[in-house]
Amino acid sequence: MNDEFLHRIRKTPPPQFLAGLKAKLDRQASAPVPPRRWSFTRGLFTGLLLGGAAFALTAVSLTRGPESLRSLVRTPAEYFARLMRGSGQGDDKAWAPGQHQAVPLGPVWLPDRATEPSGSAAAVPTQSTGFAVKQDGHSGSVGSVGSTAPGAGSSYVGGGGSFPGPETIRVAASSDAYPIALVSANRVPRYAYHVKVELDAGDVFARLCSTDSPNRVEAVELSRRITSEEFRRCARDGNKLVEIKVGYLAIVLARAPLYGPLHLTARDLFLALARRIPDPAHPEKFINNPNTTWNQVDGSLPYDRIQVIGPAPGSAAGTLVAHLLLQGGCNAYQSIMAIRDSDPDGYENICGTLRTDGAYVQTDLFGGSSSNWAYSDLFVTNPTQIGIFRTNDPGRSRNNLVVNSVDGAEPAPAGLTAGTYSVAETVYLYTKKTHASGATAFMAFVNASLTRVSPYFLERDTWAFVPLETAEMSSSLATATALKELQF
Amino acid sequence: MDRLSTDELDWDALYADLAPRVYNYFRYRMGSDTDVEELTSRTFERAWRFRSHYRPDVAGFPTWLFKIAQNVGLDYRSRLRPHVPLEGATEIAGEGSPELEAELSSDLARLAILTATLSERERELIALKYGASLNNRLIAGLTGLSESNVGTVLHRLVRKLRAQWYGHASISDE
Repeated sequence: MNDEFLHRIRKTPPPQFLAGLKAKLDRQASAPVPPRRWSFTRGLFTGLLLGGAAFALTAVSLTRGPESLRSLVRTPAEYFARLMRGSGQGDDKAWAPGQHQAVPLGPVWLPDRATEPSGSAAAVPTQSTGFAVKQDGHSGSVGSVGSTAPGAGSSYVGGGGSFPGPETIRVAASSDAYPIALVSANRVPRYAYHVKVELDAGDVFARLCSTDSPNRVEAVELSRRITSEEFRRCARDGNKLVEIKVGYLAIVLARAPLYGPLHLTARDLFLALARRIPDPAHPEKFINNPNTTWNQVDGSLPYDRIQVIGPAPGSAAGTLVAHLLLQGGCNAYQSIMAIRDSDPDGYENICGTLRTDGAYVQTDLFGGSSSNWAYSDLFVTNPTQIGIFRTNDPGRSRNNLVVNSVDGAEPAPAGLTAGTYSVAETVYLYTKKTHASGATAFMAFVNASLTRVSPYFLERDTWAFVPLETAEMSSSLATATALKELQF
Repeated sequence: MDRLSTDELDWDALYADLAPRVYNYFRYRMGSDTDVEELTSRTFERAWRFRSHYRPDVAGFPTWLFKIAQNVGLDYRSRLRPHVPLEGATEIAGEGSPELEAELSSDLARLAILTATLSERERELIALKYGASLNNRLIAGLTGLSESNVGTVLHRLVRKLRAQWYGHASISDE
């Protein structure tokens, strides 16, 4: 085959390139060796062996083994069956006297009644019993908190042959805080506690502070602080609130280093990216955003086209970005603040809606862990574009993108703590003192919320979450442990 | 190459052998010298960082490295703007600057124009065979084709390219 014409195109790489690359590789550390995975065949064989042994042991113990062995095998099985039962309390009736009863294993807070003799129906506390105890305010029983929530699926039934379900609390969360609350709830050990997180964009404090609403919740998580009006309404009913700072939601605005960073303000961002802005001549009227270059927004900014790249506006990430980008500047307008309480939908329409005319550009590359480099590479080739990044983004660092300050602050811990960095929100958790007292489930949720997780392992929906620094975390933990009452 | 354990591999020798091959693989694959050094660097940096992950019992080191190179190239191409169609490319080259004319007359540019009509898989085969100088067995492992199929497809491709190559040369000579 005469293919010489194809071979002759080959060329020797420049020696300086080869030498430079080699020197770079020699300096580069190797990643640690990953743990060796088991082959499928080996895993299957081991699984079959263990499964067979377990089956044989169970069969023997339930038929011919001594009572002690039978109990040893049966008890954990029944304990797990109890956990699986969850809220299915209606099935308790199926347990008849004379059936196998075992001493339950499990957390230390299991009621002593669980060891009472079987069949003593009169001694069995029911879900309604637990509810009544809580209603009287005797919250000394740790397990009673969850059982106060109707339909929460948590109750304990003692020696009658059933077992307590995990302690349950319900948490209402605003749209921005919902993913954070959900991830925290998933970190709580499920064998002991059940944290139900509900998305609620309405009046969550009415649900928290209510004493008789069927929809009441034990905690509320928000990406803003409680307002004085909400606090007053809650306190009017004699409630004492506990406020725990959980972390921050923050984004970084970065671009290629070629032209240096922009020094933006929250007002600039609003006037550049909101779909509708106040008419300069008549601030009470709103017009479609006419600004196309940054110097139209602020004369001191360069004559660069407004182009900010980020997640799709309709997505959860896009909604959060819209709030973070727009609300700081939006709230600076009296005419907009005037409609905040009277017309929440109108307020959201102005302060939560990004432009769709090309000034804000959505990209599918945003947020994917494997495409961080591809996303940050976009800005190297388009140096006037601004990208939305999380505070700790390896792609941004790799390309040495520069961070644009907002209102003179950069997304550093100091700016977040002081509240001077405008494109950030603080996430708070609220509960009533009476709810939290003795509630181990609530404390477990607080602990899970304050756990520091490496940003590399953050779930996709919590990409913007910034955990508290050590000092603030200690303060939050102390507040939660002492149930320090909020003073407003 | 025998499959040695990662401790037994001579990394310097591997680099000396494979760096020119990866470099030329990208030249053939991209049809130009633009960004070839960047792509080669990216491939080796990724491979060297994760070389402890390399499993000699699964594949030879060249196969593993070229798999990384394929992914780097794929990543790169997915971010490029769509290519100008062949007719458009010829027009652009024809009415361009003297530098462009000179580039067009180079063998690499000529190959790029000829392979523009080929499918992605066919271009990959040409780059692996003549850029990376891999044998058909390794190419089969990288492309998912059988070894004999690789040989057959390459044979047809070379025959087709040769006819176009010399036909093109004779036209330009006139």
